[in-house]
Formats: sequence, structure tokens, C-alpha cells
Amino acid sequence: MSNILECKALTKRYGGKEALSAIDLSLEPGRIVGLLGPNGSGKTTLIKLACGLLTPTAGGIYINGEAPSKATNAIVSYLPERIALPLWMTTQQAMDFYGDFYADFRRDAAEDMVSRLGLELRQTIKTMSKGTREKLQLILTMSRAARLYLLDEPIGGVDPATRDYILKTILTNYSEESTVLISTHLISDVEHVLDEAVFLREGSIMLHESVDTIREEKGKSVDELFREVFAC
Amino acid sequence: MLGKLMKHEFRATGRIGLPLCGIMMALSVVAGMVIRLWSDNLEYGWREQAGSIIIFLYGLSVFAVGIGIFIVLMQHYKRNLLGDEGYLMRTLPVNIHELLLSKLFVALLWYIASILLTMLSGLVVVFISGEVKLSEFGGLMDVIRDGLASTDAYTWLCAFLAYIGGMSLLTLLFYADYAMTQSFSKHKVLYSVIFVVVFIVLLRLVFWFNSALVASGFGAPYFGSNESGVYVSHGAEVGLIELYLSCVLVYFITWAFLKYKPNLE
Repeated sequence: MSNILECKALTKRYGGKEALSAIDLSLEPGRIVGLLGPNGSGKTTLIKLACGLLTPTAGGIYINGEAPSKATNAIVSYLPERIALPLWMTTQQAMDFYGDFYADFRRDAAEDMVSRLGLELRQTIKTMSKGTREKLQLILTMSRAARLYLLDEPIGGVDPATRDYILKTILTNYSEESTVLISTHLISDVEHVLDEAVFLREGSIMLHESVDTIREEKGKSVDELFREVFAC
Repeated sequence: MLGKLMKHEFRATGRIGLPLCGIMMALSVVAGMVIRLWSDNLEYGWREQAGSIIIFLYGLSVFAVGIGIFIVLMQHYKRNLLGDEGYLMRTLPVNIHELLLSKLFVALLWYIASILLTMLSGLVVVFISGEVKLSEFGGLMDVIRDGLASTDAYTWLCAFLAYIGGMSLLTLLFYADYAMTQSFSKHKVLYSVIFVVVFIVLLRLVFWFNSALVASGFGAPYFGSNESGVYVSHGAEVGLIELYLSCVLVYFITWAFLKYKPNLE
């Protein structure tokens, strides 16, 4: 089975600081993978490189065998860590926008989630609360039938009820053939949805293992292992 | 995708641009009425003072349409490609050329629309104020037609191309400056100044190269030549070539910074 995401000796430096140090990583289709690590470990950098928002200093990153490009953007659904939707847009206009640019956008799924959330179609994003904006952005991201979902801190900075909503939305909207890469440092909240865990520390991969293996062989939860590995 | 990008670009910039144009047109109607009332009554009271304010506001709205739309377009570019919205726009299945060209084409359409609407608002003032009556409209059109006929079509074409090229260059200069300074995390003002100096030097080089090329007779087979010399007799064409070469140069500088130094770090 071909890898949906592959990093080969991927390195990224910001000035003199190395954010990613020659990492090798392969992700197969149909997996939910947790990209776990403390702040500044390189999680966001890796996701931005996969989206083409950054260019590698050395090595390469490949989506479905291709370097990030217009073609790979068509199969990757990206949730940035900040609100990227224009604030003047209404819910309706945001859905129109996604529908115009993404052939895989499932309008009916988006409308269904928007209506269940009780969002007004004519409400502008500017007038929404932070949590509601994040939910809308997640709905739009997960309403695409993408091959790869890159979710950067989808549950950071929201209340526990919203976290549950977000994780439920991810689980109920991704297809079996798709891969979901979730970056977070809130391990206990996402652990139950993960198939694999990747531990990043100071730009290097410390561990890449299936969650079942971690539990069976190490006799620990991912959260416990994370606390042990990253103990200060 | 270019058409879709342009549609959303119009939607985003039209939120401010259209009301600005609407206000200018509405004020032109009111200003015309005020001038008409003045011609009926020359006493200076509070109504006349209010009228002066309205005419001042109309003048201000003409200025706002000219300058305001330019500022709106530049701010939108910065926010849309270099700010938070860049995370959405630059992960769309489109390339940097499509993103840049959609913004440039929409900006040019706005510039042309704002000039036409400003001229229209001026005509509205003239007609409503009674300075020119509808019965005299035919005469006014004759004057305009004569004015147009006194200049040949080729000169009008050159003037139009010069306007489009000039506005494109101005817009692209701002695009390039924003893209370049954004790609550095420190000393943005310093880099901005350096960029302007480098650009002026490059423009001079293009001008020198261009002039040397035409003076050497390179353009003669295309533009024709006479005894007074190709360079002197084809100044307009030389200027246009220089202008559009500069546009291409600045366009690719912007493109390169957006593609290879996408500082959304």
C-alpha cells in the first residue's frame, strides 16, 4: 500500500534554529495518527511543510508521492491552528467558498453539521465566539472527502464540551481510506481515537508506534508514556 | 480557477468599494441639487452652509473612491495572502500565479470602474445643477466627440495602455514590497527601503537596455523609422515597452517571494 504522507530526511531550519532534524516518517492510508509533542517540538512546522506553506531546508516531503503543490492541495484538507476564514464571510459564503474550490466538498454534510450546531447561515464569522469559529472551520475541513486531513491543534484552547464535539466530528466524517494527522499536546483527550502515535521532541521523532502496541508491549496508555518520555 | 478567485476577490473588495462608489453617486445627486438651489437664491444662510458641506463631502467622496479603493485593495492583498487568511488561500488547489493575477486583474477593473464612475458623477452634478440642460446634451456629446476625433485611435490606445501599465506597476510595487518585507522577521522597514532602491536601479537598467535596443534600430522594422531617428519618433512605444517590462520584472519578484519565502512561520 502506497504511503499517503512520506518524509525523507526532512529538515527545516529557521535561521540558525533547527525545527525539524532529518526526520523520516511514513503514514499509510486509513489511519488516525496523533502527532504528539510539547510546544516547540516541530509539530506545526511538519504540518505546514506538508501543506506547502513552508519549504524544506533539506530532504523532502511527499503527499501521495508528490511534493506539495496545487495537485496535492486538492487531496489534503488542512485545519490551521488559527482562524483563517475571512471574518466578513457568513456561514453560507464560507460554504460557497469551499464548494467553489474543492471538488470533494460535501455540501450536504456541511449543511447538516451547521444546522445541528444551530449556526445561522447569514451570521458573519466576525460575530461568532472563538469556539464557534473553530467549530465552523473544523466543519468545513471535515466536510471534504479528502485523502489526508492535517489538523493542527484542533482541540487546543477550547472547552471540554467543544473538544468532545470536535473529536466526534472528526470520527464521524473521515472515510476508512483517509488518513487523519492530529497534532496536539492534549494526549488524554485524543488517545481513544488514535490508531498510531508519533512523538516529536526538538524536531526529532522519538517514537512512531501503533497505540495498541504501546498499550500491549509497554503496558501503558499513550498519555502515561508521553509523560514518561517528556518528563522535565 | 482564476474566474472563481476573481469572483471571491470582487466579493471581498466590493464590501467597501461598492458602498464608497454608491456614496459618491448619491452625493453627486445631492450636490447637483444644492448648486441648482443656489442659482435660484443667492442669499447666504444656514441652508447654503449645509450645501457647502455637502459639496465638500462630494469632493471628499471622489477622493475616497480614488485613494480609498487603492488602500482597500492593498490591505486586502496583505491580509489575504500574508496574514491569517493566507493559511486558507495558500492551501487552495491553485498556484501563486492564479492568486496574484486574480488580485491584479480585479484591481485594474476597480481602477477603471472608479474613473468611469467619477466621470459619471461629474456629469450627474452638471446635469442636475442645470449648468447643462438635457436639450443641450446633444451639443455636449458633439464637443466630446470632436475632442475624441481630434486624437487618433492609436494615441488613445497608447494612452490606455500607459494607464493600465502604470496602475499595474504601482499595484505590483506594493505587492512586491509587502511580500518581500513579510518574508523577513526583523528590520522590515530597512528591507523595504533597500527594496525600493534596488528596484529603482533595476528600472534604470531596464530603461537603459531598452533605449539602447531601440536606438540601435532593433525596433525599426516593427515601428518604422524616419530620418529624425527611431528613439525620438517612437518615444511612446519605448516608454510602453519599458513600463510593461518593469511590470513583468516586479511581478516575478513578488511571485518568487510568495513561492519560495512564504513566511507563514
